[in-house]
Amino acid sequence: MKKLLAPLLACVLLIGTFAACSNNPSESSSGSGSGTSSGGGTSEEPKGEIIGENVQFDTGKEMEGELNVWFYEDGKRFIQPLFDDYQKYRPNVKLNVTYVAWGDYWTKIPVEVSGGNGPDVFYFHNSYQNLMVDSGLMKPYSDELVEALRKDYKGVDSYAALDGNIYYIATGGGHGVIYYNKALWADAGLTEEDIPETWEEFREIAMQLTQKEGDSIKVAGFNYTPASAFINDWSLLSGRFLFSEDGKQLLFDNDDFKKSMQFFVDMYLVDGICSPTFPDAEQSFKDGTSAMIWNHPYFAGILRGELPDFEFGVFPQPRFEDKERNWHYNNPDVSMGINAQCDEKQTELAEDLLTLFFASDKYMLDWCKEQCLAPTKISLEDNEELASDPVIKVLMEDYDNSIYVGPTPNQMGQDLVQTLLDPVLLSGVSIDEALPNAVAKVNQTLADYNWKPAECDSAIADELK
Amino acid sequence: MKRGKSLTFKQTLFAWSAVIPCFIVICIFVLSPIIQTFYGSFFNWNALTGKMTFNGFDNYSNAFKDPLLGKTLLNTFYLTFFAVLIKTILAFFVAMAVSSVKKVQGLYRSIFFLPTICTMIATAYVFRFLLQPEAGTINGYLAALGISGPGWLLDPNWAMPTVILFTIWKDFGYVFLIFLAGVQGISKDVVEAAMIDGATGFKKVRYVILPLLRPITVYNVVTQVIGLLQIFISIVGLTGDSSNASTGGPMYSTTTTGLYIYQQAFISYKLGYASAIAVILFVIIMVFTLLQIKFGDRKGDF
Repeated sequence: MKKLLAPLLACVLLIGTFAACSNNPSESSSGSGSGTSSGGGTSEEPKGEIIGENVQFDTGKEMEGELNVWFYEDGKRFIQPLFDDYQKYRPNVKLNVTYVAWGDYWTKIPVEVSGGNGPDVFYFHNSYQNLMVDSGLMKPYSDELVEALRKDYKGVDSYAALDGNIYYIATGGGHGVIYYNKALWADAGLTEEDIPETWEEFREIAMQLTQKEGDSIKVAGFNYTPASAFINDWSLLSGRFLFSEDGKQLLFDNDDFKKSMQFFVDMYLVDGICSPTFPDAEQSFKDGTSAMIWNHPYFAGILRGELPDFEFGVFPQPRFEDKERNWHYNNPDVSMGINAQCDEKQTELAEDLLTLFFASDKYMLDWCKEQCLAPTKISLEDNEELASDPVIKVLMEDYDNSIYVGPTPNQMGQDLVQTLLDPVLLSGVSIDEALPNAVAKVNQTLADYNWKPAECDSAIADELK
Repeated sequence: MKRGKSLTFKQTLFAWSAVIPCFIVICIFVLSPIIQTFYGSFFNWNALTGKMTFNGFDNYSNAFKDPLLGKTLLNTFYLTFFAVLIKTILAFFVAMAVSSVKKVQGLYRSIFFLPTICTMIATAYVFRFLLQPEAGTINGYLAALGISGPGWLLDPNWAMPTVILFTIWKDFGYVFLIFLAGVQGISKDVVEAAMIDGATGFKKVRYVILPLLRPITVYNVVTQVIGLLQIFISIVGLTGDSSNASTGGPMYSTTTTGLYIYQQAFISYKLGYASAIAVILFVIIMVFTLLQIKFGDRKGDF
């Protein structure tokens, strides 16, 4: 009997631990809501003021019921006015808004929605398309709304799911940009005139910005690690698609990608502008020990929030000398989703809230401004307020070079870092040797991943190989 | 064998009424998930929709063909073997030393047990910053001594030894306390008798104390092995980043099977496959545990 005790204990501890992880977490934080107005559709006789051009919100429309909304906590600062106004326009709709910490959001939302306890409307990101849309957890926007969205927003159909329906649209685009520390830049005798147009010029400037004491790097000229997202750009920068048309093959194993990757690897291993064991890019940029980093525009919002006095600048990713232009991986932010379990009435209310969001420039302006996004709303394309933001200005000027690849699997970043970049940077493995393993690993992930890349739908797709 | 007096109906009723609630709780929260995990390992299982498609032994055959699973198992065994070995030997000798101290023994117990009661994820994060190769405190001190510190968690060759060091530091106190209780529980008469017979120093430890501590040693080893074969929280704290791209890295050198199960289940949402790996790991732990008990219980005193 005693001998059975330990194996039983092992059994309980092992599978008990695993099972505990799979228990549906119950609701944690909840926030407040407010807001309102009236109105909404696009075809009925208006009863109040009409907001919007094609997507139209009738402020006088009479609606009643209760609507539950989830949003991530940090987004409260720019999304709360939407909820406040909605409550004002729709006094008979009880709006319950819950703000959830970002770290918990993506664990809770799928579980809560699938468990039948989820909100009617929720913040969404396209990287969770496979998880949420393909699992049938989201409801498509109505044909009427989609038709109106096509007239007010760019690229609506690029975000169609495999079933052809639109479950969300891009609200703003954001591709990688180069951040630079203005003080370190000035210390090195550089001015805005020195902002490089090509990666080759960039490399010289990065070397100029690097500060060393003996072999030790005190200030990294350019830090891109961990480069889980930047690696995708290496393919586009070399003028190559990332995926095969069916989305089942990663197309990195070619000379153009190898050349591009070798360039960035050499910046670390040959030029010594950074070290693979240097603190990561975001942290070291905040600490002032990295003069330039690559990152998405959202990082500007983080810097402004955490370090309001920190002076940084942004410029577009350069192009390679032998290329006529650069191409970037567009990482868009997308609109809120609707719970698939909403009945007809709840769906109508959910779309009514989204209609106000889409129709008015006001909320979309805040949405783009606070998250540093290039707007996809056509009426905001020439907005002076957005254009006056130095980060958004760079994005907007360079937006034509941005390519939406599609909802790539989350696992891919880890696959590429650990099977491609780590072996090359940390273990001295050649790119030729590491690349087939990395491609095989990603292809293994893609084999079970149900999606269709959107690269070919890009307006500049014919320029890529 | 003498049989005890049989219980009255009232006593039996009372006993069952005490046991049944616990049994129900165990069935719901322990046995049911175990059975579901085993059942789910034969399905392509989407936990979000609840859709389960039977695929026979596909998850198991995929697991045996998955080179990353093999690597994670090797990592797990490597970590478990060295962490248990070093921790057990160290804890035994420190317990011996502390048991011989008459004063401030409580202070030693507190100091050694302190890391055990600290939050795992918080201490892992602190260690990660301390061990940062180029900006961390540890390498800063080493540099002041003229020593070039290693890459610790960012060097594929050093990453797992670093995790082992962290594990030893974190869990040492628990193993130490068990040994200390065991050493202090040894009858002084037995030790004195052995010393009269000429067993002093090493001989006393080898032929008297160690055999008497065998049950405690086996207990310590078995519980450590069971815990370490499932390790994953500390790995996430030590190696994870905001994008999770580095978790279990570099080059999967710290990806343990426990972490791999978590990633398959809750990042890739392949619950069927994750269940199959969990069952495989369960069988491995079961075999190891039985072997440890068999070889550690030769005199039947466990």
